[in-house]
Amino acid sequence: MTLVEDRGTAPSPALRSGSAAPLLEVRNLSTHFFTDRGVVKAVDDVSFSVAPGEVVAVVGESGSGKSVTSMSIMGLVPNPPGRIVGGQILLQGRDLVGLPRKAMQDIRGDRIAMIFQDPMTSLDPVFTVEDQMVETLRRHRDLSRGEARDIALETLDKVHVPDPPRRLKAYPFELSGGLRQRVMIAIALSCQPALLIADEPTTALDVTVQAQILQLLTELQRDNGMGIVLITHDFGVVAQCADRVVVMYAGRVMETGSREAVLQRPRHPYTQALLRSRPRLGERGRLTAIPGIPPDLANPLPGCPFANRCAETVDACWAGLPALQSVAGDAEPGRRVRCIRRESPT
Amino acid sequence: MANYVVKRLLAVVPILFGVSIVIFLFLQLVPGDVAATLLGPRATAESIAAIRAELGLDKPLHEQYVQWLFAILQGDMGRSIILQVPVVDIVVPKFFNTLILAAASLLIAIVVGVPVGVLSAVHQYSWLDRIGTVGAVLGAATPTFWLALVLMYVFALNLGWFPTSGMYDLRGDGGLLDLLHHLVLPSIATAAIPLAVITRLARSSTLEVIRSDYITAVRAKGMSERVVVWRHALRNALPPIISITGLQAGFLLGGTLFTEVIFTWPGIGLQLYEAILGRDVPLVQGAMLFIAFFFVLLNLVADIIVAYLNPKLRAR
Amino acid sequence: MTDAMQDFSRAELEAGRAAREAWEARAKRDARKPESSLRLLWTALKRDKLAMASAVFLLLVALATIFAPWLAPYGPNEANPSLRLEPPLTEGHLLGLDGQGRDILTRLLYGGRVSLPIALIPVAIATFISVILGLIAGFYRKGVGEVIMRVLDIFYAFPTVMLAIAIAGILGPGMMNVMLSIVIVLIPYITRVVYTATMVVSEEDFVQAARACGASDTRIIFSEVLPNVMSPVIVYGTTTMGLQVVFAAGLSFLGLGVQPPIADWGIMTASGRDVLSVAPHVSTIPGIVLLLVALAFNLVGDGLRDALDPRLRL
Repeated sequence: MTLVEDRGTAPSPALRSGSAAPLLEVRNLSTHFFTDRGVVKAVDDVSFSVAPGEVVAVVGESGSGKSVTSMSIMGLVPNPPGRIVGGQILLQGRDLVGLPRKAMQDIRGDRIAMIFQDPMTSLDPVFTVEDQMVETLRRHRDLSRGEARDIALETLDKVHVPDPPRRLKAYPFELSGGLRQRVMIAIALSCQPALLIADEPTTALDVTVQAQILQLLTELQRDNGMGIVLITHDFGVVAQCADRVVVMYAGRVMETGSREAVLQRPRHPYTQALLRSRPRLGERGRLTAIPGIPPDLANPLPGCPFANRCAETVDACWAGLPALQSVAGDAEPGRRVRCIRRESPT
Repeated sequence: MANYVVKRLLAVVPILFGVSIVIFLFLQLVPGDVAATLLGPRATAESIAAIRAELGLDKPLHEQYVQWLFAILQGDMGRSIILQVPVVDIVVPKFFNTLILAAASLLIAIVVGVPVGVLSAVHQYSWLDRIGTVGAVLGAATPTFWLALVLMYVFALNLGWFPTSGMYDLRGDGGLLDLLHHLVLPSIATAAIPLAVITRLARSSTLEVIRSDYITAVRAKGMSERVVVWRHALRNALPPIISITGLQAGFLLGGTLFTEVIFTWPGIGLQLYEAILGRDVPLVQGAMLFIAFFFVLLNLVADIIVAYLNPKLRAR
Repeated sequence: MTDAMQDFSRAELEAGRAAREAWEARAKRDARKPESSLRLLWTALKRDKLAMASAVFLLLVALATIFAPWLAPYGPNEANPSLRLEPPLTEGHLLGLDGQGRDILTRLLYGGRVSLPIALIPVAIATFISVILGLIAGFYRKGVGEVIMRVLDIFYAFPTVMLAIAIAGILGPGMMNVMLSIVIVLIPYITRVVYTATMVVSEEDFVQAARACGASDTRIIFSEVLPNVMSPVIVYGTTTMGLQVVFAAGLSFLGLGVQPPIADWGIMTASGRDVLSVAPHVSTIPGIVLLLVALAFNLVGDGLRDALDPRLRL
C-alpha cells in the first residue's frame, strides 16, 4: 500500500503553488452544541485554509456543519448552547478563537465580512439602506455621516445597484430580492474586508439573479484580491466560481481538493452521490437523490458517518472513523479523502 | 398613514355605539323593580313615580335609550341618586385622580419591565433571566388586594415610611411631594400585574427578534452588543410591547379599583365601588362610559403608534 | 485491482458488524417514538418538573378541599374566643386563629370549596360557549362570523375587572352572579383565541382536502378543525383559571361575592383588614394560598403551552 497516513491533525498548508501565506487557516476546529438530548458535534476536527484571492467552497447538505463552520469563523456561534471546544482559526496568522469580545467585534465587518442566505430577512426591516450602511462604516472608520454616505453611494454603485441615491433612502421592503442581496454585499464590502464569508448567497434568489450575483462576487473578488469562503450545497455554484472545494458531512471534512479534482475525479461516495443528485441543464437522465436521511446528530454513527446511506458500505466502515488521507494516484497537493474504500474502483 | 388613522377612527364609532348600548342595558340588570330598588325600602309611592319619570322608565326601552344617548352626547350623564349632583361633576375629578395612579403604575411597569424583559431575552438562561421570569410568573399570579395589604402592613403600619390612605395629608400643604409620598404604595401594588405582563411580552418578543437573520447580520457587521440590543433588537421587538402596554394602560383604569379601595385613593374605581354598593345606577353608568371611552382611546393611540413604527404602513 | 474487502482484518469486520447492529437498533427505537400527539404531550410534560409539581399541588389542594369535613381539625364556624388572633404555630392551630377565634387552616380548607368552583365552573362554561362561537366565527368568516366578532369587539372596550365588578355588583351579591359575570367577561377573550386558531386551521391542506372530498361543514368542523383548535384553548383556559380564582376572591373581598358566614379565601382576606396591624396573618395567609394556586395554574399552563408547541412561546 502506498498510502500516506494523514490523520488530519497537521495543518494543511497545501495551497496552490506560489501563493502567499494563507489568509485564513482553520485548524482542527471543533464546535459542539450542548443540548438536552446530548452533545451535538456540529463541527468536528475541521481543517482548511484560504489564500488571498482564493475562493474556497464548503459544500454539503443541510446539517453537514458548513454553516456552523462559517459562524465559528465569525465568532457568532450562539452560546449557550454552542461553543468552540477546540482548534484554531488563524486570520493572517492571528488566532480568532478566544479573542476578547471587543477585539472580535472590531474584526467582524471590517477584516471579515459576511453575506447571508436569505436577503429578504437579513436586512433590518425598520432602518433604511443608508442607516444600515452608514452605521457599519462609522463603526469601523472614523468618518462623518456625510463621508460615510459618500462611500455608501460609491459601494452601491460598485455592486451595480441602479440609482444609488434613491436606493439609499429606501427601506428593505421596497427592494427586490436581488437588490437586497446587492445591498447586503455592499454593506459587507464597504470596509474592504480581507475575507468574505458567503453563506448560500444565491439559494433564495431566482435563477437569473443567481447568475448575476455570482458574477458580481467573482468580479469583486478578482478586483480586490479578497479571499472568499463560499458555503453552498449547489455544485453548479461551485463549478462557476470556486478554486478549491471542501466537502463536509456530519460535521467532518470528507473530501478536499481543487475544483477540477473534486468535480471530475470525486473519490468519496458521498461526493459522488452529491454530484449525481445535482440537476444538470440540458442533460437527460434520472435525477438521483441520495438515499436515506441525513444523520441524526443525537445518534451519531460509530464509524464512517456516511455508512448508513452509502451504496458501497461494508461492515468495516462501521468499525471506526476513517482518516482523512491523501489519494493514491492523485499528485495534487492538499487532495484528501476520508474513506476506507478509496482503493476500490469507482 | 393618514388613511390608516382615519380608518381606525371610523372603526371606533360603532364600538362606542355598542358600548353605550351595553351600559344603558345595565339599568335593566337591576333585579326587581328598578325604581323601588334604587330608592330602598323606605320609598313612598310618590317618590317611586318621580324617579320613574326622571329616568324615563315609563317609556319603551328604545325611546329610553335614545333619550339617554342624546343627553350623554350633550355632556349630561344624569344625576347621582345618592349624592344628588350631576354625574359629570363627580366622574371627571375622580377620573383624574385615577389617571395619576394609573400613570405612575404604568411608568413603573414600563421602566422596569421593558429593560428586564429585553435583557432576559438577550441573556437567556442567565441569572437575570431566571429572576425576571420567576418574578413575572409570580407577579402575574399575585392578588392585587393581597399585595396592597402586605405593602400596607410592612411599609405603612410597621415601618411607617408611607401613609396608609388618601392622596394628601390632611394637615399637609397638598404639594407634589405629599402626593408622591401617598402614591408610592398604591402605585407599586397596582403595577405588579402590568409589570409581569410587560416583562413577559418584552422577553418573548425580543427572543423572537434576537434569533432572526438580520440581528445575526448586524452582529456580523461588528456592531457592539449595545447597538445590537437597544437599537436593532428593541426597535423591532417594540410593536407588540406597545400594543400590550396600551391594553394594560386600559386595564389599569379599571384595575386600580382594588388598590383604591384599600388605600382609599379617591379615584374613579373607589367611586364606582361605592356607587355599586349604593345601587347608584346613573353614577355606575357614567363611570363605566368614561372608563370605556378612555380604554378605546388608549388602544387606538397604541395602534397608531405601532403603525407609525412600521415603515411599510407609514409609507401608505 | 483486488477486492478491497480482503484488506480488512477479521477483527475489524466483526467490530464493524457489532457497531452497525447496535446503531440500527438505536435508530429503530428512536424512529418508533413519535406516536400519538397525546403521548408526545405527556412525554414533554413529564420532563417539565415545575409544571408536573404544580399539577400535583393543584390536585392535592382540590382533594384537600373536597375532603375538608374529614381533614379539618375543627368545624368551619367553631370559635374559641379565648385564642382570638393568636398567630400561626399556636398549639393545635397550625396557621393561627382569626378575629373570632376560628381556626384559619380549617377555614382555608372549607373556603376552597367556594373559591375553586366559583372560578373554575365559569371558566369551563365560558370555554364551552366560546369554542362554539369561535368555531362558527372562524369557519364562516363572512356573515355570521362577522356579526359575532363585531359584537364581541364591544366587550373588548371595557377593562375586564371593571366590567365584571359592575355586572356582579348590579346583579347583587351571591355566588351565581359572580359566576355569571366571569362567564360574560371571559367569552370575548376565549372566543378570539378559538377564532384565530380556527382561521389558521381552516386554511390548512387537510381541511381543504376534506372539503374537496365533499365532507359536510359540521363534519369538517368537529372532526378536522376542533381537535386542532383545542390546544391553544386548553393553554389559555388553564392560565386563566388561576387568574379567575384570584379575581373571584377579589369580588368576595370587596363584598360583592359570597356573603358571610360562608367564607371563601377572599372574605377571609377581607376579615383580616381591620386587624392588619396586630394580626397580619389573618389577611396574608389566605392571600398566599390564592397566590400559590394562581401560580400553579400559570405554571401548568406554561408547561402545556411549551409541550404543545414550543414555537408558541408568548
